[in-house]
Amino acid sequence: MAEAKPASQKIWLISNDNATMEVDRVVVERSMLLKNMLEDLSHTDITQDNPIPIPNVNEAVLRKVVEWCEHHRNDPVTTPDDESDARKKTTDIEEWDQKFMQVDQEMLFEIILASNFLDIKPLLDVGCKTVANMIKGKSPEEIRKTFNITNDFSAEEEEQIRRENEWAEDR
Amino acid sequence: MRHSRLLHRLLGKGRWNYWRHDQKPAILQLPLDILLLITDNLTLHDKFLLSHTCKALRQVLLRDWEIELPQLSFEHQIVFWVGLAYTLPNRWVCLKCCKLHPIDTSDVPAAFTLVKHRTVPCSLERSQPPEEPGSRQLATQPATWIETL
Repeated sequence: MAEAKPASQKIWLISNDNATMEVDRVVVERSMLLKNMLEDLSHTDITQDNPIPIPNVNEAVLRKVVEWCEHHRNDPVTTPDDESDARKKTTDIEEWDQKFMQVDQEMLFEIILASNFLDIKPLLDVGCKTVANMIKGKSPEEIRKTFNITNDFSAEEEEQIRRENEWAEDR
Repeated sequence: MRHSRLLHRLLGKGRWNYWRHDQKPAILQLPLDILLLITDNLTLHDKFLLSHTCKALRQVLLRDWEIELPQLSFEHQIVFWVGLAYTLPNRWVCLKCCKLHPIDTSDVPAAFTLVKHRTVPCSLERSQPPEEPGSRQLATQPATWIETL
């Protein structure tokens, strides 16, 4: 029997909290890690009863990552050079991705970690830009409030920072 | 067999245990390489301000600003000062000397005729009062103030 075409082929993933989900192969292949792995496997190796384990990624996060991959299933694959150029140019994020990233901070960081682990560079890039945009234009105190960071500077470090601020402000 | 080996490799990659709520904030539990990817998206003035938040971020972003900034082009230096001025409501950016100056609160239309000799921090000489006296630095803060000489 002829092998199923990759585009219509189904792949099963299982999260670290044992939720199995069926995803089109072309969607799974947004992950370079899984793409490379699937290339080394026969399509019959992965079944509903023998899904690919995704360790360290829980169901909620995996569903978000799959949702992003579904939306971007037809995006052209960028080369590393394209990515580095695009990354340096702007922190603009397309509207759908902005809405997609409107999640709580814990989920945002989980998506970043999952995309790093699964090697989905465009999603990692969107996640990092989202965090960067949360930092931009804020004072140190506003950044602390945004990320719940405690000011843990020693007296000596406070003095260094005071000098840096003096250098910047007192002209 | 190959399948199980690959899955084993997959399982072995990237073990982490983040989001321990009783410990550091989530952003500080990110691996360094991810933090650096995030800060790559920041401008220099945002890095300057971020380095003033806590020890960990200061270690990631620490640099000698006094040495590094003058090595940048004039345009990049101005962008740095304008960025800083957004978070410093009492400062404005002077294009002439590429610095921040304190806002002079006497420099408003009502006060202008009363103050005959004002001290301009960058020593700009004004033989004539500007056409629209005062309030220019306030109106243009935090944007750069383009002085017409």
